[in-house]
Amino acid sequence: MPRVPLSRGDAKESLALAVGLYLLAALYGVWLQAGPRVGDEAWTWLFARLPERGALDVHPLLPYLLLHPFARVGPEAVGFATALLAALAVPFAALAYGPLAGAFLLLSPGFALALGFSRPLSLVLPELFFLLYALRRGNDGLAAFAGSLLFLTHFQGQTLLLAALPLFTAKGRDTLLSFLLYNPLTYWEVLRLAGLFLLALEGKAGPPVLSPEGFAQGVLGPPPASLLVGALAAFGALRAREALLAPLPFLLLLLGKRLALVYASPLGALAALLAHEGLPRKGRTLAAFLVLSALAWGSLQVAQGVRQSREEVARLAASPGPLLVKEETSEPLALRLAGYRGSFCPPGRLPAE
Amino acid sequence: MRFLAALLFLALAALAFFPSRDDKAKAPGDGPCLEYPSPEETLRSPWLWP
Repeated sequence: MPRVPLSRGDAKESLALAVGLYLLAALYGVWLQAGPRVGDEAWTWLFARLPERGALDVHPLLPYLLLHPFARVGPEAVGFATALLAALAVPFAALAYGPLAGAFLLLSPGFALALGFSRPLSLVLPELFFLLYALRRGNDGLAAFAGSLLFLTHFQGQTLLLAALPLFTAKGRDTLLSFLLYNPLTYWEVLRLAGLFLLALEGKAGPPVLSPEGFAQGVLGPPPASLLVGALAAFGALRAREALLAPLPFLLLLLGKRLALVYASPLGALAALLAHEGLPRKGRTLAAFLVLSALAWGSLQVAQGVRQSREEVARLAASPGPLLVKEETSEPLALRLAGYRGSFCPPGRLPAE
Repeated sequence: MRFLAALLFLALAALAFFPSRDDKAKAPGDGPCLEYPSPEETLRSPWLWP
């Protein structure tokens, strides 16, 4: 991919804009994360606090190691750290494709999903845009580093990296291979993938999670605005090289029967970028305004859902006495509940500190 | 691959018009646990991972 030359003045201005966009994204993330942990966030905190247990999780170990110092502070610290890291996707998008692309990403529902929920998947976004930035700048070393992070962070990161390999130079691919071969986490990840594969063969891969409609709204926002974003993303897909990345994670999620709102963030972020790339030359300002409004509407819907869920958990935490936990409550669910602040179940069901 | 990506986004744009199955999930507090909602009910909310 060709280097994008910048004069010193332009570079300073771009950097200042990128920093400004990062601060906005970080504030948005901190606001979304303020409150108790919901759903899988309890897992993120638990496994980051006890990485030896995280090593046996279905997710790669790297995110838990990165978040471990914050997990020792408390569950909220893990949420804030995840949001501050995920927010880095915006300045990378702005530096690679311009401030307007950064604004598209900042206001996209996919980005709000990554900021709003503290999960390993949230960290895929900054790594993806770090990779796109490095590829745009023609920096093989940085691209290889970003690619190795994607491999070690999440299944969606691994599939995105697979799709992105044609965008690497031959030297970049060699460097990526070296980075992976000299990293001990790679070997642990290969063992984990082999274990998951064997579990899948035995039919123990877990029940399917299928809500394609929710996934579509997580990617493009609610209708009818989703039509505009989807049409421009499709148009951008016909023009931009980055379109190569879009179908593979989606198809693999579909094949893996994991297709729901919570998995939509990377494809939603890519859709926002491709919508930016698909902006028409004639009437560009008006189109950009309309798409930004449509994206912001979707993002606000996500934000509203996130805030409501945190308030609901806070309300439950404030309830007197332990809440009822049915006898058939599974151990994973009991662990999730124990990740919340407050007494949700009898002490005997809590995991050991 | 480009056409596949373009088709994917058009298909998702159409799919977004269908009501999400998550919306049909029982709201927290509904059902037999009105005055003392169980965490399991809460976790069925579309925003709380099942």
